[in-house]
Amino acid sequence: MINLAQRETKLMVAVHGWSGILLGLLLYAVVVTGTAAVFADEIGTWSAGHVATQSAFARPHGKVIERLGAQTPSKYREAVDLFETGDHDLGVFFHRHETDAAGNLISRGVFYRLDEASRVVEQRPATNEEVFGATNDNALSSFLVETHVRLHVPNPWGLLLTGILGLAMLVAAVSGLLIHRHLFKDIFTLRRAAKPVLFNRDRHNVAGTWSLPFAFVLAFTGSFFSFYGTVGIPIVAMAAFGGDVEALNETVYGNPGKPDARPAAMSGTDRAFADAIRRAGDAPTFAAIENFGRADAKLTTYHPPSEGGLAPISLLYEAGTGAFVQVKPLIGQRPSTGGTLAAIMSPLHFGNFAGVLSKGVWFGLGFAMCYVIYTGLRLWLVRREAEARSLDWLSRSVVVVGLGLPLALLVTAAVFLLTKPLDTAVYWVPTGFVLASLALIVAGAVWSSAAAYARALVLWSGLAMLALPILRLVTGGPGWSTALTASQPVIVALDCALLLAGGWMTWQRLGSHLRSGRSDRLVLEPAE
Amino acid sequence: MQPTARRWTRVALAGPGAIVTAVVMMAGMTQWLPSGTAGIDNLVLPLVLLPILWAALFFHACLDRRLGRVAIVAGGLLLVHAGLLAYAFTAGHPTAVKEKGR
Amino acid sequence: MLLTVISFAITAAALGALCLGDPKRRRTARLDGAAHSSAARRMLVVVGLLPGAALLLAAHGAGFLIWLGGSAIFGWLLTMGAAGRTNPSAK
Repeated sequence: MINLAQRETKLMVAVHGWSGILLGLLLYAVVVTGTAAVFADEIGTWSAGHVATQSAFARPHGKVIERLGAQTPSKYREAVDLFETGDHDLGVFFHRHETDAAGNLISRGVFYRLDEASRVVEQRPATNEEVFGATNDNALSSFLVETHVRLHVPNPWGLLLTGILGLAMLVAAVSGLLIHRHLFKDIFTLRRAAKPVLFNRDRHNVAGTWSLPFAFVLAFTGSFFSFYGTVGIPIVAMAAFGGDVEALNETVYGNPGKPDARPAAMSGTDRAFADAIRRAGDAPTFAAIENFGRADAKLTTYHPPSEGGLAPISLLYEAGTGAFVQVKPLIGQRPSTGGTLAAIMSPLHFGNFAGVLSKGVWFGLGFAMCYVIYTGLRLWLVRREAEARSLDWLSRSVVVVGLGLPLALLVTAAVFLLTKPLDTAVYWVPTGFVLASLALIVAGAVWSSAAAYARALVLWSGLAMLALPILRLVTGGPGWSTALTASQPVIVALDCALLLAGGWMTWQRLGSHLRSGRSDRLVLEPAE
Repeated sequence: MQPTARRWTRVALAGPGAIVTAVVMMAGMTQWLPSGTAGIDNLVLPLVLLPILWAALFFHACLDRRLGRVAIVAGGLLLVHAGLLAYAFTAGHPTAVKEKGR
Repeated sequence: MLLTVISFAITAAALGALCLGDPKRRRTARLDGAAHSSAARRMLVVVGLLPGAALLLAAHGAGFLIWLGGSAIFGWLLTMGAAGRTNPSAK
């Protein structure tokens, strides 16, 4: 498609190949967990057995929020975050922004959790890391997201690492485009019966070509998210505000209106939420009150995009009276080019702009990208195996990561289901993942061959998927009739998805074994 | 220039050179980009464009046959944006940008 | 949403036709019968892209992205499915 000179083509092939092989395994881990994290909310609902469906913002919590504000130290009334936690409980985090010992901007204050009857079921001092981190209920979904965002490496190094992996994916996508001379002529060609090098090249090219625009978008938005907080904001704040990050945040996110520090009753939240749900057509996913207890207090509600739209909606209210002020852009006080571009980065990356349909498409694209990375690594190995170079250790590593990582995540889900009733999921979920991964690595090292290990991993993954819905029921999760009676379809849908996928993988594997008539290890068509 | 020296120069320009230039450009763009209807475009657009800036510099360093041109483009962008930042700091400009942004 | 689904269906049909008549695929798979001419393929490409253009013109950003992503996944799975049996020695 793009005719580069031979020298440049060779350089791009080297850039593409080496960036892929050096960073491919880590990038694969990020993409696999990102693909699963598209459905993090649904996985959280399924794994924790949440059956409530009414949004916490649709319940009259206003009086209790007002009372909590009065009893919270005034220094923590600078801002209040309101969000759903647990089974549609309301999290209320009164806080102020301060700098910790390491110089990082954090939020510190008091966290409350209100149940559906507005009873305060939890109250503790906390920082934003503790409030929005893993809890027993959401340990599994939190683990998936945490692995994807920073590979569990502490900030800022984890974010920098995933940012670099995003740039590596960007480089691979662009260099792949530049080296593929006949992009559209080859787009429907997959020569299954060809030699291994040609077959692997075809399946890598086909998957890569079809998913290319999204590989570019996801790499670009992913590296934006990783770098904007660690590198971008401090540097832009330095350049434009002499290092004052709060001033930058105030300029970009601040609300209009004159300061007015006179005390005022905060009795407008229920009215504001009811109006917000009516205007936006959907309950908020998050709300924030600025200057709680003051006459200039403002409440902002954040909603999913409207039908056909991409950018989330945010509405501004007077917190004291609940009076509607304006539709506020997510970024900036008025619509702008920069604000719009920044606001669509999130829906472009997460695919959450149109409910299950867009999430389903993004999941499929994530799966395609996992396939591109895996087949790219396989192609690199097969090319060198053809030259009779011993790379068995790398071949096994690719199998361990490529097929073992998804299995380790399935085992982690099982660990969550077993430990959640014991209130120990926060510890055991990451521990279970590490133990499962170690076991799979050791097995990969001692198995007879990489190909045989790949076949075994596919079978075990199929069986694990079949087992998870049963384990969920056995450990006290709601049955299908309970879930459907409560109008909660997610639990049934995920159970069905696991049973179908697990059944198909197991049937393919066992069917292949029966067709080949082999009595020893099972044979499988190459994992597709 | 010897081929080895050329190769290492190209590696330097595509590697640390692209990173440093992209970061300095991101900072310097706050000084010349228009602030837009909400007064924030010059703050937000550099943040959004950082990955693209780096990628453009990286691929230019890889693909342009003329190493001198690569050095001039990257060096020129680096110097211009560093100069804008130096001027902003010596003239107390960040405060002015802060006021304009508000 | 209905507009998005209809758009996807039109593009999927065009992709199906393009895949069936793809010259290189037919040649490498040694299939009988003629491949599509260039003119036919160009027309199918236009038909396939028109729904996306319509969604963009209607400022239906969400629909456009779902259409684009859905078509990409469909095209990939179509190519995989149309490729025939696997060679067990190729992995």
